[in-house]
Amino acid sequence: MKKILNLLLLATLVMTYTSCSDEVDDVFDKSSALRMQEALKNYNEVLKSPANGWRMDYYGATEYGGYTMFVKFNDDNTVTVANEMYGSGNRETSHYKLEQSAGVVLSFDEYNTLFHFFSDPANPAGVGTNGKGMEGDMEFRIITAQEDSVVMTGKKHGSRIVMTPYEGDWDSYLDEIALSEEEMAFGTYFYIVGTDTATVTGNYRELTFNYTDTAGVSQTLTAPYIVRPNSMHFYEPIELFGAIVTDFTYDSSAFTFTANDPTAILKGYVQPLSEALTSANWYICYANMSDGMKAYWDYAAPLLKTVEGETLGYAYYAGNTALYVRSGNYWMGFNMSPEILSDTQITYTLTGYGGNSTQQGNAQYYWASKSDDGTYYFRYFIVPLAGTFNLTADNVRNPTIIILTDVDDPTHYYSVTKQAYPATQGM
Amino acid sequence: MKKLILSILPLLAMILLVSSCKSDDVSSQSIFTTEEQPKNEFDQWLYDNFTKPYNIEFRYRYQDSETDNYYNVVPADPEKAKAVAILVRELWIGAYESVFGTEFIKTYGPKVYQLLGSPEFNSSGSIVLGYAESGVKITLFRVNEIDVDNIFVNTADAFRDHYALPMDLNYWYFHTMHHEFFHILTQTRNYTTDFQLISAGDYHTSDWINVDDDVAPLEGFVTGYASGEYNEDIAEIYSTYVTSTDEVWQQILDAGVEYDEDGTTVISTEGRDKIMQKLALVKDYLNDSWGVNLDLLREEVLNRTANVYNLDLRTLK
Repeated sequence: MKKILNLLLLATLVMTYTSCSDEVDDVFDKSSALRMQEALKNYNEVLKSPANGWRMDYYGATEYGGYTMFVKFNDDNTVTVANEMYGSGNRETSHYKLEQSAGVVLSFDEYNTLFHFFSDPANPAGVGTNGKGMEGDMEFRIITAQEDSVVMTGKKHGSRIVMTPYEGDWDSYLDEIALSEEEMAFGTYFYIVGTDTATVTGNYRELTFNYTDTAGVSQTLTAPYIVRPNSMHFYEPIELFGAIVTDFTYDSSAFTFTANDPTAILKGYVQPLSEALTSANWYICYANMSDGMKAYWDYAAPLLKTVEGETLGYAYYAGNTALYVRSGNYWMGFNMSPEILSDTQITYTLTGYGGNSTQQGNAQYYWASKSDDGTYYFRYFIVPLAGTFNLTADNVRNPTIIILTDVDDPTHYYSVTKQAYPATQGM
Repeated sequence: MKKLILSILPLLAMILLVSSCKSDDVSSQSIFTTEEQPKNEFDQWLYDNFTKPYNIEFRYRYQDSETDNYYNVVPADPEKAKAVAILVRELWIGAYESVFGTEFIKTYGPKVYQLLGSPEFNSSGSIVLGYAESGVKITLFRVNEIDVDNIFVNTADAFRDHYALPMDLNYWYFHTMHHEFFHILTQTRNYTTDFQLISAGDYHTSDWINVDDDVAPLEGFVTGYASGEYNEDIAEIYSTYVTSTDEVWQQILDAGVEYDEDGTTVISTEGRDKIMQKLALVKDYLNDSWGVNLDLLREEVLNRTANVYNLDLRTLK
């Protein structure tokens, strides 16, 4: 009994002593508030450090992809902004602040037309629904801030924003990427790794890869990107057909993109001219013809005036359906059937009247219209348009003028234009 | 044995006492940031014209903690915020100060104004009019839509479409501010329960949103919102009356008269009569509880409103 008591006493003593011994060392040597203040100050110094500001890779909702802004943090708590959406030469300066809110938050807290384009709930360019806009943030949690890069996440929507110091001229960079974006835009692309191919389409700055997986199931993969000079840089690396791609660099001579992973390429699809010619409206006019062609029209036009009291209005190929011509107040249609011989060669054959019954009736009427000396003058407008032609264009990728040159006689040609001109233009 | 324990216990107690009293010094460092933020001209003006005289914080920059995280919004343009500050000071604070006195604004006036550049859109596409949380904080939206050189304060038409442009500052800002302020008054000094009886049974508790402003007077309400419940009813009587010219008020009263199909014979003046009864009670309340003549206040507000187009909204004075 006594032993137990002694032991108890001893235990009590030990406990009492140890429990009252020196307290545990502080993990941090300064209070949290003080450390926060230091972090704010330190981050502010980092933000202000690049003399020419930062290039910011900005993402709102990732479905719209990334946009380049330049930001320069000034000494008076203001920030000067340029935004590629507003083009080069535009700047706006507004207030910013750093504050504590579960970490350090950078807030663009005064309206800046250029910066808040992405966060406006009613997007100025009408992107997204009212209330959402492009769902871009204007307050960012700073994840890391070093002199060579700042990484942040949007406070409300969580997209990752990366800033790197930029030494060069903001405006020439913005011009450069505007040009690159235009050059790199194709309606359709093909992503190829070895024998695997995905069809790729773009919307805003997000590519959608459509492909069939090994189990034969259709799959889609979306990849937001930002435009860099002559390249696309992805928000996150994409992994498809065994290749891991972060960047595509554009080679304009081949309409092809090479990837950082040499096994993968992306090809821009260019519609062949013969297909372009037979899938849209193309207008014919006098001014765009060779002299030989003009001679036929020169003969027919005065007779049309004499016989019918009319002049030609528009004349155009409507895809592969028909050739429509307007004379005075009347539309007529001719079946000018195209036969595609190659990407750049086509044969037009006149096979009859076209369009609806009225247009066919009108065509029949003019086809039979005779001058005083009994000539079917109106046929001189139409017949020379048929034949076999080589096709060339002002811009192969995005033609606005296609020149049809007779395969047998290079001096015999006419051009069609995407823009509508009256057929008598230049007469 | 007992003796031993008894002799050791005091010793233990001593040790405990001494060692447990070892303590850290309290840090002399405050956890609140005291670093002075640089003030620009506008900040200084706000301090001189809002904070110092009236104990009001006028936040024209975005403050996340003062806004509803659910909505996407953008901050206010400082140039337009200046115009709003001048207008609030002139049309609201100025009017109340001259009738109720400075102390009164310090005690009962709103403590925080938060400005935002855009509206808040609800998922249905409708937009939020403004917030006035218990009259303590007033949030004003759509500041960036104000055309500083061409402001519009509607005093001509009681039933103008609230969403028509230019934006009617009376509806979007001042009407709401008067309304919320009246809640503060009635929460501080109660009003007669007789008021509740006038339209008892007529309130649209859940479907007031479907009551259009131009038909509300037939039922004895000055606006659709007033038909929700009696506390909103009395606040709407007050805020509508002080912001309405005689013509506009008459327009509302006239809308409270029911005619037959030909539009010539009066069937009922019940709606109009109820509105007039309610207004009389509001006048009595202000007079008896606060010693204020409602018509004087209204005259002050209307005079200042009429003068608003002469104000220089770009220069801080």
